[in-house]
Amino acid sequence: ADLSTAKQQGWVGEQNNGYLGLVRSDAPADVKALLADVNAQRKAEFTQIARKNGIAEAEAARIFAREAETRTVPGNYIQNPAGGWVKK
Amino acid sequence: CSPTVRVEAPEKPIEINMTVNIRHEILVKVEKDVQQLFDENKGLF
Amino acid sequence: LLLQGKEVLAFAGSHRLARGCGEATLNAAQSLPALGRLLQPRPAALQALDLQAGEVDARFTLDWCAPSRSPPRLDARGVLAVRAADLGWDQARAHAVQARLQLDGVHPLRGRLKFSAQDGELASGTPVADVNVDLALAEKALSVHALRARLLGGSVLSEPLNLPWPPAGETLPLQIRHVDLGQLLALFKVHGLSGSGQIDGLLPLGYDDGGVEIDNGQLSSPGVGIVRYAPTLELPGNPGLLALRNFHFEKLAMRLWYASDGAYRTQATLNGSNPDFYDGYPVRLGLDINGKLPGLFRSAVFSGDFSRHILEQLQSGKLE
Repeated sequence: ADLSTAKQQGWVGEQNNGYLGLVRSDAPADVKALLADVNAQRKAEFTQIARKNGIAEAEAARIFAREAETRTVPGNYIQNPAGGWVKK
Repeated sequence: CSPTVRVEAPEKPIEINMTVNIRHEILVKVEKDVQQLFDENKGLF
Repeated sequence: LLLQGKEVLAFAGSHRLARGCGEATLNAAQSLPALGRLLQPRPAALQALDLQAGEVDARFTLDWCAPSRSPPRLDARGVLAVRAADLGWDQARAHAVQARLQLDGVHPLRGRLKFSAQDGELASGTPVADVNVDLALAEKALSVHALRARLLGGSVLSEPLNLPWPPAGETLPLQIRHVDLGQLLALFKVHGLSGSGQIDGLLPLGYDDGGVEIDNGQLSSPGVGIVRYAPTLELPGNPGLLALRNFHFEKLAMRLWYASDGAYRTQATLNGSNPDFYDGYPVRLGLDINGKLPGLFRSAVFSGDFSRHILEQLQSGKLE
């Protein structure tokens, strides 16, 4: 599975905390594996950016989340402030 | 609006109000670092 | 536990399979520099830790139960004591540290932390001295027995008090006494910004989803002083900036807020004059400065080129 297809098919979406989230729990196993793998890589990147700039990892992740939301293609899923999944 | 400057009766001071919004270098740098995470070959987005 | 063949920690315990419970004791006594050398390569979480001098000893008893049906529970009690230590974390430093962490239980977290240091530096390089912290955490209450430090020419301290824990809006009133305005302004490392005078005040510290907050802090100067913002870069004739080039104040009062996400808001009022501005005619200067500095308390790092930002806002006409 590749990430953009998984997003278009509505299996995964961009969460407010900068990480990918499962929109539907019945997503295929390879999508779930991809999600875990991408989130792990994101965490490593956020931690490195946070350490370099003297801020917390969560803050770097939130800055990513804001950017991810603006770049999300209409029709793909993002989280509303309350944490619910909505199509952009 | 430009800051309001009123010179009034001698005993009254000149009143100046100023609002400054600081965008810290630290945020600008972080955002530049974050932007790079979106390029294609990383496959993170 | 042997690190590079040297005994660092003794751990002895028993576990009764039938009940699925057990207990153990853990003892360690070590010189900190030796421990620092043995901890190579340093685990990621301790990367920033630097152990220069001092002794540590720890005595803990742990007990756990992992009955098949319910989740496992671990509890621990004990004491960790650090004596005459020189420690570092990133650029922050503490010298002649005496610390005692007494753990009374993990569910819920209970215990007492006493920490004192003769002197040191914050991560921003700001010197700190006579640091004394004595906090006790009971089931639902945090007791502040001592909280004080000397910095920026003055001191910050809290009177002993009790707070519900976790706090639901309550704040800890941190007093600011005789801080030198010049040193405070220098902290921001802003080109062309300097001052003199003294600052006292009260900063109500709150704690909200993982961040320290300041809720309506009040600072003021009991006497006269000077604020100068005179960057060499020529700023167009904005009255506020012209006045600030050499502002002699009789009165300075400031309110400030700092949110856990790093957003800060300050409202300052200065009454005084600038001899080169309208021939020293009295001026009442209202100055609001807002910005965002995430992780301010964590990293205690101030950075950013204020002059360039102010110039940008001037040129774009956003400077009200």
